[in-house]
Amino acid sequence: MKRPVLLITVMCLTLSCDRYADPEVKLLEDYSFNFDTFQEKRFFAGEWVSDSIRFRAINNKAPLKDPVKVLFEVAKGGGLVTVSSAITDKDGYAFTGWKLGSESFGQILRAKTYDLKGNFLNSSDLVVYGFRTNEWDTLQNAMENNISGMAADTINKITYMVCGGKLYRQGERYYIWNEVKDQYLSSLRTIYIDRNRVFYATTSNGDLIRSTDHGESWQLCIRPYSQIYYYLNISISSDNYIWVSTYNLPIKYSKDSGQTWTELGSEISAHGIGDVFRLKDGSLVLHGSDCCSLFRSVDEGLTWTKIETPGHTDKVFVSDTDEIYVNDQPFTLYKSTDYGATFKYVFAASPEWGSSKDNIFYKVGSFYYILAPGWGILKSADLTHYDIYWMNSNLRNLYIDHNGVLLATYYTWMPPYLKIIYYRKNSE
Amino acid sequence: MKQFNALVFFIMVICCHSVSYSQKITTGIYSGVNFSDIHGQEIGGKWSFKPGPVQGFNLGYSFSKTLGIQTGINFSTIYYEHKLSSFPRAYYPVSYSSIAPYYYPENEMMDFRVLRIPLLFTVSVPSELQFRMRAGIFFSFLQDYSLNNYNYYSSRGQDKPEKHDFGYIFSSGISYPFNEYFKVTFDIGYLTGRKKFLDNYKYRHGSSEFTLGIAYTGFLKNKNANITSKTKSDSSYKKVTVTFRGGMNYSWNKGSNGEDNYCGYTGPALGFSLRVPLGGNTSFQTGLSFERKGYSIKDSSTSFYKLIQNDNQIYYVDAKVQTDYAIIPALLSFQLGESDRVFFNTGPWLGLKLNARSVGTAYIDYHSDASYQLKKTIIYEDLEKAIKDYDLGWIFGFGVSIPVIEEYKVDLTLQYSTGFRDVFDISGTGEIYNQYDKSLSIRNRTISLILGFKIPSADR
Repeated sequence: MKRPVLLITVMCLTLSCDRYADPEVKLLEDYSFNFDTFQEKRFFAGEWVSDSIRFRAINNKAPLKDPVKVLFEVAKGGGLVTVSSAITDKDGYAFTGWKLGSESFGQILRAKTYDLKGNFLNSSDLVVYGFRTNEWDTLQNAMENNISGMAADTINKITYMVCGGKLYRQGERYYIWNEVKDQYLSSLRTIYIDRNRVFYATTSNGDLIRSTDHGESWQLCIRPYSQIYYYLNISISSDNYIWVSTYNLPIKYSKDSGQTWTELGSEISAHGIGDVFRLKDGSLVLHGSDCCSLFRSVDEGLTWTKIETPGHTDKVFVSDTDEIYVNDQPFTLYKSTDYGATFKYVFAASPEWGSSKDNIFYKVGSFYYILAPGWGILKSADLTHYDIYWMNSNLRNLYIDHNGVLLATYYTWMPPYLKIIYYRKNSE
Repeated sequence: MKQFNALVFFIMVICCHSVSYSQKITTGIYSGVNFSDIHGQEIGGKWSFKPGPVQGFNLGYSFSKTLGIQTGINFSTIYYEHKLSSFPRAYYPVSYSSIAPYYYPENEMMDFRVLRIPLLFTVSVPSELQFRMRAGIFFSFLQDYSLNNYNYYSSRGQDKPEKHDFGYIFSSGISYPFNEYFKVTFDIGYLTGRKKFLDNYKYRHGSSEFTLGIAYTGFLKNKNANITSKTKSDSSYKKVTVTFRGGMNYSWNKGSNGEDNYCGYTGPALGFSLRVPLGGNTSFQTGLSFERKGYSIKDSSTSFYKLIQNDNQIYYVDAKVQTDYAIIPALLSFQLGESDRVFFNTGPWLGLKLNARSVGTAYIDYHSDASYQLKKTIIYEDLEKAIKDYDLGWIFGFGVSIPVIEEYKVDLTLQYSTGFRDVFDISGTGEIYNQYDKSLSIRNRTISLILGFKIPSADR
């Protein structure tokens, strides 16, 4: 009888014991991978990124243990690689050359890694951008997404961009932007250029800054409003007058590049400054920053005559032949050839959303590019006949550099609030 | 302290009144080990079955040869240790990935020294190896405690445990007389407290005890001699047999549909059965057995006890989900033929949940553009709160009984049991509905192969 008792006792005790290991997490394998150069860099489509692109694989648990097999392949863009299979050296490096294709703007070189048993470890991408001709190239989360102004000197081949409150000068290639540093160049809002190729930049503190040497040096202009430390609205007319306005203060203009300022009357000042044009007959045409405020002055701005506009206008543009174009919101263009006495319908589009309009008229060579925010871009040779250049209802602003490269900004009120900038370089 | 004195006085009164007829007093001392088994815990981590000492004496009072009461004093030290999951809990939908996985900073340890006064009703089955079952309540008095490494939340440092507790005891054991007055005893007990012992938590005491002891039966021996001869003619227990049983369960989850890759699980079964002849070839069979049921997972999942698959953090899980039950069957057993060798039994069963857990391993590899990691997770997750307290079902069994020595027999039984209830308790998991989760249901199904050693009646 003793044996069964003993047996049962032993079994009970055995079953009651802890039989399972304590919870824990063990790291069995740990590798790090990277292409240590060229990530997110910009090139022209079809050019060599490098003939020696370096990829590194590190075994963090045993750095000197085993090499890793690396397979290089072009995953996007249609380019080519010089080495498609490599084994990492004692420092974990493997090399290949990469020439970009032109099938896409974003191009990807992929490195697939395997251990020596052939087990797949990882896939790492080297992403670069190949800028193409006659294509809209889309950049997300790039520095240029925060662009707020651009001024181009087509004679001297210089373009400046205000972006995130800083000033950038275009580099050797149109997609390269180099920051310009100067004691006055901070908290910038936007930048303009006059017919004398003098650059003007405004700040968020109410300052106006000027450069007369193509941006090599910058000087403070006399403050048009000494009592304010916030925004200035500015327009530079074709006679190089500088027109400024701000909240609840009279419009001022300067004939001498911001050295002295003259106030306009209270009636016109109530509308603020939108755009100002000097016509060939010496008169001035001004549209305020609010609705329907189109005025003309024949006495250097001492008195202004209101021009009745069709609909609810928010923008005026005067062509080289003194034709006055106004935009009725949201986007209907009317033309006047008699100084605003009559207006004639020329084109209409239906934007998906309404917006204030910064500079929407650009002339590059013999063509005009006109942006309809929330709808797209029009192209016209005579501002009477329009072609749809690019329909994109997410466009908010359009800028054009001295090369004629178009930069369009993206806007959406819907999540995920993408930050996109579009580049387009047209062939000569 | 007043309650304690009152109980001691009560025990002494019982001793003084034990000289009446048909009564028998037994006293004994015992010592052994308890394995802590906390209740009321949240899901997660491993509550170790930590051993601790048990000592005590008991005093029994028999109304007849089979029925009696018992009390005594029991000193126990119970050690609790929660070994914490160092891996992120995967039970919440991983689509809630913005919620950072939480990691417990350290292990939780508690120990308690208690004095218990049990009050038990006893049933003894006379056989060569006397078998007895006990059930009742206990009152306990906290003597000392320690909450080491316990206050990993600041509020916990303020807690003081309850000084008094009461609860239930279930116990069974065997005894073997080695002379006229003494017998050696072996008992297995299961204790579960009913009061929360910490204010801010639902923890309740619990433990399993394994004790060896010596019992003295020499009190009032002369008067009891007459009783012994009378009870020998007590035919109702004349042919009651006890069978000690042990074997293997192959169980699976019938609640999942065929699309899910839930697999079977093999676990132990251990216990005893009592067979009471009802006349003819029919007998009633009951008993108590410890059985581990469950299922296993070998698939990709974000959970370690059920299949949740989405595009996010996916483990390859090789885990067993185990639920320990105390099974009490109520079967009718039919002997086929005259030889008494082949039998068939069927009837309902009640299973009381003791513990539940998920154990195993899980692998996950992280691929990012810049790294690769392969991690192995040793899974031990307490799931007691996710499993309902009991299950009900039906048993069908078929077996053969083979004589080995004299009237000692070995039973070999093949048994199928089915559970009626969905025992998964989603409210205990803290989960909320998520689109990836086909809500789990667990319905126990078990095939058992049981080997039993049948002890014949003492009055054969």
